[in-house]
Amino acid sequence: MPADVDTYLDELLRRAAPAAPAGFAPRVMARLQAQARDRRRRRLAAAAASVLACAAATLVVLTRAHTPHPGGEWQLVEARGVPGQRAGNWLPSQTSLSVDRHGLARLARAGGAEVACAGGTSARVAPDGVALDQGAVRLHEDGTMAATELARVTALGAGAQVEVGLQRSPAPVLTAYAARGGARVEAFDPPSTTLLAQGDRTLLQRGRPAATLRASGPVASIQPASLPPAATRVPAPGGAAPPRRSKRQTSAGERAETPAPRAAAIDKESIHAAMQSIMNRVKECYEEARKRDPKLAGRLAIRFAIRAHDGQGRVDEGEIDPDLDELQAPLMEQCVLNAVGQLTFPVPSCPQGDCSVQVTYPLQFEFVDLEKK
Amino acid sequence: MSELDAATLSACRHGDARAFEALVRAHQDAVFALCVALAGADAEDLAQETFVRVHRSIRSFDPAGPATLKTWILRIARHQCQDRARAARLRVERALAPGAEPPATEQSPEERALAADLGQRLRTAIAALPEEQRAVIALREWNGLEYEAIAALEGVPIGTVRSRLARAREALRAALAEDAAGRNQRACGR
Repeated sequence: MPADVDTYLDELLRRAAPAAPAGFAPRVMARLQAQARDRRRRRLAAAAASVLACAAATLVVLTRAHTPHPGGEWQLVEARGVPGQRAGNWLPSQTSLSVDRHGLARLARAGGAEVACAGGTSARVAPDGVALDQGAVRLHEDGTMAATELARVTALGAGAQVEVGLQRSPAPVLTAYAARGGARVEAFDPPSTTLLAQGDRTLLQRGRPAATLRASGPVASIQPASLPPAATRVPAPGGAAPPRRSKRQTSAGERAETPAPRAAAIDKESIHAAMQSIMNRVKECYEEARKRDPKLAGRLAIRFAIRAHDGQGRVDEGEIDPDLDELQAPLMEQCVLNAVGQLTFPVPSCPQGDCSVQVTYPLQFEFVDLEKK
Repeated sequence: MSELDAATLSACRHGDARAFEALVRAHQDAVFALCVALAGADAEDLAQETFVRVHRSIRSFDPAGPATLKTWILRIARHQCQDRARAARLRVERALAPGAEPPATEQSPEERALAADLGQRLRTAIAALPEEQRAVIALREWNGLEYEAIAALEGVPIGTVRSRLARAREALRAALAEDAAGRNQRACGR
């Protein structure tokens, strides 16, 4: 290096200054022109579409009186916030449904099958269910199906109730929760089949194996072809885990009945100590999620119940409190719930017989760059 | 041409395509250099997108305001590149093309080879800098912006700009010296 290092560095930096490639300005102008053309074309297409829509509406009005219902297996039983549809319509295959943020669409098929589309859902109706593009649906009764690009979810058992949610941002993630009965989840990539018992929840993302949280307790083993009706199945102690409801979902259908637990107690220090034991795992969940979303931060609260099993307090039901979930990161939440599901506590002290302790444990996630501090 | 005359700028604001092309030509190198520093291989796409946004909002630029047209455009480019900046460190080196160095005809072949080698090492060292230091190098060393303008653009105090620049230059000096020392050792060992 020469003696006057700074001057030499200045010279080197000056030489290293990048210049725009040849033809840059004409390419920018061409891009601007292309965008202007696109805008004109879109305006023209919108005008043409509105003319066609008017013509089609006229045609419907003219022919409606003479045409019987168009046929199809599904009938729209309830249609709140579904543009262009009303209750009582028969829906031919491949009919598109788009439910507004606060709406609900309930479809029923002869034989008892039913699909409820929550607000913010867009889907296409197929003979055996719906092809979900975005949002959440609830499947009722055996064989009712929802298909997405990630997997096909089929409700198993009479009286089954399966919640299916497809979130597109930042990457497509599918959640399926068997609130009652069971479900078959057939993932496409990697190809696999997961059978959910009552209370189980699974989460899928393209290219990853399914992350499944099993309901603890004596849930009957699943035989998809011969599932007993929900009413005769052996329930988990205290009934099914309450379904995790996304904020977009409305109160379609009823929840599984949960007997009220009797009062019980575990001292706070034991709970805190147990939670501290999984903090490293929870941090790993967060770090993994930050690779997908570097700005991820905020609060979430884990709600779970502790019951006595085999002389220990075990997590019986767990979910992220939907009202206190600032992260909205399903993969991370599943990871945290999996860690919580492994915890053991002292046996809850019960006034009498079986009881459970309900815990809500808030966590704050924030990234601190120690190197910058 | 670094700044446009008032008439050309006024024509740009009234949608004159030729005037806007003149604006692009006047600022393309500055925008491209910043995008290369921040986003590496995506620089051209981001630089083009920057000018698309400039075109969309040129009417909102106030020539009598505190920002010059150049800093206003660079601020748009900075925002545009920000999202991709963090992931792009490894690609920056590739985008800092060797062609950027003008040939020095008065140099001997050995001197030219040495200069090319130093240039390559400098590019590697710049690519290894943290994002905020790369931004300051691009704004100060390649675009000649004043500290005040850089501070306003980056949203940090002037002292922070000075310290970032000092740290960046120190890192570049160290990287070049370390590399040179390693080469000398290898040469002596032969």
